[in-house]
Formats: sequence, C-alpha cells, structure tokens
Amino acid sequence: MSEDHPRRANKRERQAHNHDENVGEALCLEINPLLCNGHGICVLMAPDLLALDPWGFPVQLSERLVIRELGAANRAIKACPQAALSLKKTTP
Amino acid sequence: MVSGEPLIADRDRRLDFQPEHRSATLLGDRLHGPYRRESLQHHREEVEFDHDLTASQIVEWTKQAGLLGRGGAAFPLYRKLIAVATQGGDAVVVANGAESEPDSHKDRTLLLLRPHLVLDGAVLAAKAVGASTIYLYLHGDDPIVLDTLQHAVSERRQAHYQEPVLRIVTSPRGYVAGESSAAVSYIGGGEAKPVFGQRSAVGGVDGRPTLVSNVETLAHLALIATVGVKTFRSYGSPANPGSRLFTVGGAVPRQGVVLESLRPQRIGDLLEEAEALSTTAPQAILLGGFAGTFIDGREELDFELSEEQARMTQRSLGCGFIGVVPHDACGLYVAARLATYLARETAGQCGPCVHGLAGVASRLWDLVSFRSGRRQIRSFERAFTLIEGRGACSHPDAAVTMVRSALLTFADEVERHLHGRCRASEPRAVFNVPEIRP
Repeated sequence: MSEDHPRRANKRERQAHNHDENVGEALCLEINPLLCNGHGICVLMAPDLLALDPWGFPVQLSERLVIRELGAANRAIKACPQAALSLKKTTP
Repeated sequence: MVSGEPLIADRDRRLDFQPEHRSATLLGDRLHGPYRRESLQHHREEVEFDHDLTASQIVEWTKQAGLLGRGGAAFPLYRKLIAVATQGGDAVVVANGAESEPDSHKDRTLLLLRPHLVLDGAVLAAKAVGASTIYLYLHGDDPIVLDTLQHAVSERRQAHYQEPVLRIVTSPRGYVAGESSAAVSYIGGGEAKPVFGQRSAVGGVDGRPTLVSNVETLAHLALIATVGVKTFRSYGSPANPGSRLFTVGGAVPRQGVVLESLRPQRIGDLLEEAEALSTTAPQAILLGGFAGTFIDGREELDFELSEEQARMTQRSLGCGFIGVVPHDACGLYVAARLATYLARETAGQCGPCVHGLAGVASRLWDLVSFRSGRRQIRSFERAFTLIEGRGACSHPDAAVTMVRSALLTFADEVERHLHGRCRASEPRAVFNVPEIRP
C-alpha cells in the first residue's frame, strides 16, 4: 500500500485539520491581571500555553487555543487559587 | 412613540437647524479678560436648546456631529450613548472632571468658566441614555472648582429645573483615579482603581448602566444641541469635528496656558498663540500628556494637531497636553522623571505594571547616570513587550509608549550617554513631577 493512498491521505488531513483548526469561534485564555498574584501554578499545569515572566506572572504563549490544548487550559483554570484565569472567545 | 413618520421629518428638519449668531466655542473670549463666575442667567442668554429633544434625537445629532471623546481615547460619543441606552433600566451618567495629568488644566478651566455648559451636556446625555442620576466626578483638592460647581448646581435647583439629580463626588488623589472604570468603582463605593473586564455601560455604578464621559465632551454635546450639527461641524476637522482644548506646559514662560483650537493648528502656531515659542525651536515636544509621545521639536513644529494627522502617525493627542522640552535639558532625565512618576502612580494591582514600570524606570536612570551599555539599551524593547497589553487599564501601555518615544526622539542623547556625556549642565525635570528618585 502506498503512503499516498488517497483515502488515507484524506483521513490524515482531516485529523490534522481537526486538531489544529481553531475551536469554532476561537477560544483563548484570559488572565485577569487584577486577580493574578503570580502563584505560577497555571504554568505548571499548562507549560505549553503559559510561561512565567521575570517577576513570576504568567504570559500567554499563543493567542488562540487549539482543541488539544483545551484540557491543559482547563486544568490551569481550575488550579488557579485566585480564579484569575478563564476562557474567552476571540474574534477570529 | 405612536408614529415614526412625523418624528423623522421633524428630525431631518432639526438636523439642518442652524440658528444665527451662535458660535460653537467652549471658551472663546472668556480665556482673555478677567475671570467672572458665570451665572445661570448669563449662560442661558448664550446657550439655549429645545428641551423637548428626544433621546433618539440626541443620539442622532451626536452621531451626525461626529463628536469624539475628549478625555484621551477619542471614542465616538454616540456609540457610548447607544451602548448605555440599549441596556434599558435606570442609567447613570458620570461627568468626569478629575483630570489627573498634573500639567493639564483644560478640564479645570472649562469647569471654572462654563460650569453650566458642562451640566447642560450632562443633562442631555442623561436624557439620551435614560439616566436619573448624574455624578460630577471632580478633584477633591480643588476647592475653587468644587465651589463653582456646587454653586452652579444650586442655581439650577433654585430655578426649578426639571432634570436628573446632580451629585458631586470628589475623587481621591492619584494618576489612575481619573480613569473611567476607576471613577465608576469609586462612585459605587469601591476603590478609585481601574477595574478589569467589566463594561460600565452594562454594569457600572451600583450595577446600573453607566455612561462615563469627559466634561469637555459633554460641553460639546450642549453646543451641538444649541448651534446645530452643521455649525458644530464647521469647527475642528472632518475626523474630529468641534473645537478642542489644549494645555501648553513644560519649559514655557507661562505654564498651563489653556487654548481653544477652533480648527486644527500646527504645533508651532499653537505654541506661538500661547506665547511659548522662543527664537529657537524646542528640542522636543511631549504630545498628549505624561504618558504621551515625545516628538522632535524642530521637525515636528509643522505637525498639525488633528485627529487625521495623529492617526496617520500613530500618535494620540490624548488629553491635549503640549509640553515643551528645551534645548538645554537632557531628554533622558526628563523621561526618567516621568517614568518614575508613572511607575509610582500605578494602582498597584497588576504585576506586570507594578514590576515592569519600575524596571523600565530604573533602566532609564541607569542610562541617565552613565551606567548603561548597548546591551542594556537593547533590553528596553524586551522589557516593553513584557508590559504591553498586560494591565487591567492602559496605564502601563501608555507609560511604555512614552519611554519608547523618548529613546527614539532623544537617540543622540542616548549615544552621548553611552559615551559618558550629557548635553545638560544640570538636571532639569521640565514638567511638574514630584522629586522622587529611586
């Protein structure tokens, strides 16, 4: 079977599409800077989405979430002791 | 409303309405000559409008007039009016006169000279959004303005004006206390600190839909109702109709001169009018306020102070402050003093603003005191990106804009400082910032 079997290629494409396409109306994490105290737990929960700045406050690494990142995003949201994180719709 | 037909016809007629002998100036001749407290009667001789204007008419007029906010953000007023009016329920209007730029005096001057014009505008705005309460948010440490407005409010009460309740609320000190969400928070019983992610149009003072507008904007609204859209639009520029108040400060013979620009003027002409132009062009101009933009004084004297020009060059006229930096001042020292002030004046709420601005200020001081090398200069941009867009309000972003513009405008001074030299023989802050050094 050749690697480029049309149906398979199609399926791979579809999968890639499903995984990397922005979630419908694109979602992103929103950090409420008034609530955030720089505990940094969110960065442990979602190291691919957030990083710490030099003062220990989270910085977002991407402006839009893709589907496979939603789990980590939700873990970070739940873990924040200040409830400073939330999901927000972005204008695509 | 029973039938829409007559109303629309009526409105169309009104949009053309253009009474004679009325000018759409805020201050006009009042800026010259001795100060006289304006009585309600005297005010009414000049400013009178149809008190039967409906909410939709006021919104339509504001839209046709193209009035933009004069508090710094230049946001169309009619869009704010619609946002609050469509919420329904008992709304609130906040007339923001707590100008927090230490060197800007245009709102103060307007309140002193034309209190009733501001109140008329606030009443019209209240009608447009369906508000039963108007709060006048004024500086607590400015007794003359407070007294003037208290007197004006009591005059209207004595004249049995049928209008919303006018309440005066005094703001605490602080640079960010005049920010609109901070004003709403304070009036509602909270702290005078910016709030995040809550639109005051939806839930402002006491959870009621709230319109926050600068006093100059409201005064213009009263002018529109008096002179009509057409006359109003004959002032200003197409993108920002109506006259505009400016304050000239910095190294000028008379600081804090307030001017009214009827049509967009060149910076040079405005400075000349303020008698602030010496024989040599200034080294630089600080445009828009302490958190504004430094621009080159020689090349930019021809810069036209209009919304069109500002947008094209990605600058903001902000609150209309024009500050002169003289040739014998070190621009980096000036910027360091401003940056330190802005860093101290954060509300202390958002980490990136608190830590970031302090860091930027100390980097500037390093440069001023010849402790920086090229690597430190390059690190500024990284510091900026760690601050921008990460605060609840625009305070950190504006401070970054100021410092970034200073490094560009005073590039030759940066070079000099890298070689341990400075153009100034002694440090000079130029602007009225408190003496604080880290």
